[in-house]
Amino acid sequence: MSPFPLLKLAWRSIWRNRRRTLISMSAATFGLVLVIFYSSLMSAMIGEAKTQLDTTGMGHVEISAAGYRQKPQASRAFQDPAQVVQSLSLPPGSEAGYRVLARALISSAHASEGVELHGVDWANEARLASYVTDLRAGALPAAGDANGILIGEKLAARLKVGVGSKLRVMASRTDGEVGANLFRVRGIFHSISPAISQTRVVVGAAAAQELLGTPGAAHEIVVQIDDPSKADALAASLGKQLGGGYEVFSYGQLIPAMKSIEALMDNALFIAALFVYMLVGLGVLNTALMSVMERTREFGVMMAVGTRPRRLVWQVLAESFWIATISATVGLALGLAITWYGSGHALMDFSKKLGEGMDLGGMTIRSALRTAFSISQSLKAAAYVYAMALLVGLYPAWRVTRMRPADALRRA
Amino acid sequence: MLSLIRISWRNLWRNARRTAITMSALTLGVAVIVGLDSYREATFAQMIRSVTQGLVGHLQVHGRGYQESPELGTVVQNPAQVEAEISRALPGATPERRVIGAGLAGTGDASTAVLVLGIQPGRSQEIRRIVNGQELSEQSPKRVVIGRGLADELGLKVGDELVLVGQAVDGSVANDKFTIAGMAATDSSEMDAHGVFLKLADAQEFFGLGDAVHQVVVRLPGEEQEDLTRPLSVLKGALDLASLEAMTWSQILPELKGMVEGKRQGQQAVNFIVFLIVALGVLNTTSMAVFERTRELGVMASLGTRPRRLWAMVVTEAVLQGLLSFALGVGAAWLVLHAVGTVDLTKLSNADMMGVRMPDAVQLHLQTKSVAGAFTVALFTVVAGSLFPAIRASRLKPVEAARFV
Repeated sequence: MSPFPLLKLAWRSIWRNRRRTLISMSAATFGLVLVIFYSSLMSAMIGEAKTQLDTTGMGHVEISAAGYRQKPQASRAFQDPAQVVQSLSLPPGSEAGYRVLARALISSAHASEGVELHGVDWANEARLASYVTDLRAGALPAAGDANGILIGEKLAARLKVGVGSKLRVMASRTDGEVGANLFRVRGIFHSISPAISQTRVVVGAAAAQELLGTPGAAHEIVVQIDDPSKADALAASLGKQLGGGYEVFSYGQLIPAMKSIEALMDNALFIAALFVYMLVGLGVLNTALMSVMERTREFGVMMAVGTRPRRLVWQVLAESFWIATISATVGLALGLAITWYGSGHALMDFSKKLGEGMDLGGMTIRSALRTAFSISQSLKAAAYVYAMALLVGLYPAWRVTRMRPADALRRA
Repeated sequence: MLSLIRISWRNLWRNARRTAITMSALTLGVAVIVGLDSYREATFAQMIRSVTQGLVGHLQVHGRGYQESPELGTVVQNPAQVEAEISRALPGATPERRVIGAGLAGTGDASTAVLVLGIQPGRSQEIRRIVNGQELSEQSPKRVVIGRGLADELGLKVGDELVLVGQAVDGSVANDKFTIAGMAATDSSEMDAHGVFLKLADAQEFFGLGDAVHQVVVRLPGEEQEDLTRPLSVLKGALDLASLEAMTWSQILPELKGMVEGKRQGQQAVNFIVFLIVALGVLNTTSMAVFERTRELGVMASLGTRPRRLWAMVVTEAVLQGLLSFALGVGAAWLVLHAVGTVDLTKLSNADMMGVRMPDAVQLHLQTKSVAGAFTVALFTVVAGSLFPAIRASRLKPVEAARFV
């Protein structure tokens, strides 16, 4: 016998108790939507922190003179940074630039703060760090500006300064002396990272070199690429190209927390999903079992008139098939729709409570959470729900094989 | 009432398999929620503890406007008097004075910008752990304890000299030499990398502050205090608010507070959906249980059982299942939490969240708050799931129902 009438019969059977079927399907559907939504939220958080490194100005690959990471001193610099950047063989679509770095003390008439000083090529930096162009007051310093400085909103508030204010910057020079120069605030930038807004200041490369006594030298080259998964390979090849005088790290090595947080989220997600699948399974099992039990007499009659137990088993399995198929399909469609919408609109927005962004172990995560629309991830979740619903259908089917026609008939 | 419970109890076990399946879903739901919630709350409690026992304290008193814009000159002029007022207003509270400023610390050939903290060594044990060398002592003058990251960066050892340069409160350059007494590990990577701890008097002298301090940190007896509205208002009542400001740790670190609340809301959303799934299961089985007893319920109604009693019977069955599953679920969560014991978070411990170090390890306990929350939701679930079938039971027409096969 072809399976087609069997499926048709099963289809009719499940709708004999419409309410029950709908309830048990909606439990499975809700569960699936929950898992799809939750997992896409998690991967969006990490994914954005990974690809959008320009929110912090970090590179997927960062190059510095050997030993600089261990002991970040002004003297551990390399010469002709622009030429080194030129010489790098990078994949198309990459952005690269150099920076002069220092940990400095910045003072206004009111207060002093410790800051990270970045000496940059302005045109390049605008492509590497989005906050540089997100000015809330003032303007970007001109290319030759020897004492222009950009500071973040939080720092400006703490130092009580505005555009045009004078700031004194002190940092350790290569000769061991303390270098001090006066700068004028040209612009105040906005960053979603509280840490950057409070502790980063940006000046021209030449001004930073003069302050530190390192003419023509820089401390770091950052490279941002389109495909973050290639960062490790690129770091290795650049390391080979540059030789022993440099150290080259991928962002995965620089932010070890990123990997562990990713692993932690995967585990949390796995556990949560597992429980949801179990709950869904129990719900579907219960209804399937009930529907078999209440038809004991009916099955008894069918067997008494000659229907093979095997065929009844197939029918019960076909019923589970329909319930699983419909709930997985509807859940998948809903989940995809929600995560697609959520990838454009922030469905969960914590920015009122948390501020725009949160710093987490070197990453900055936007607090208006979006979802990552991923068909493959959603399909995977749907496949689990589907498998679970089919699997639990086996038990009621097995119960059918244990029915004896005579006993089954006698049951009311 | 008692007979109602007894009857409902017996009814439950007339179809033991069905009841067991429904209850296992409920139990699983309760266990998941209590377990996850307890884990989360334990982590929060630890982070809040590290904040309140550490750098921030439960409450702080500053010179007015300091939180908004921490100027070196915005100070508490009479810390002794303020401490006396704090002790009078909040018996048992321990105040601690702090001076906070920025400077450049270095040796002959390298220096870096640092955060200078003037502390009272005897009173601030919890903000750092000496990993090398010694604690500051009142006897030996001009000593410093530095963060271990700073020591690495500048290549400093215990006994080395540290030159500190900064700006004094009058705008002049402050400059002094100190001997490194020890190195410390703290609860914040920022402090590890850039923290320099001086004795309060040394810091006051360095910045030219006289007797003034920037913060009076207040720690209250009893650790688990999240809601500090009352102590704050008592404290505010005792202080001269024209020149001073008082605030709680959650006002000082609003992002941390926001994160805790945000995660709690997220947890509630998940709880809601988990229980929605479970409630649908309850609804399904209860509907079935009512449906298959249509005849029986009809007979009962014909014999004079009130509709209200039929209604109550069905709801009681559900509530009994709910209570039993709740107990089993909490038990299961307890077992799992204690079997796991301590969760090691050392992989994450380099990660600062909102400036606060994630705890190294979290000791898991059943949290009363989580249990209470799960109880409310579990009860709500079973009642919501059984309400509709119960109403159907009470509306049965005796004659038709009794004829139903």
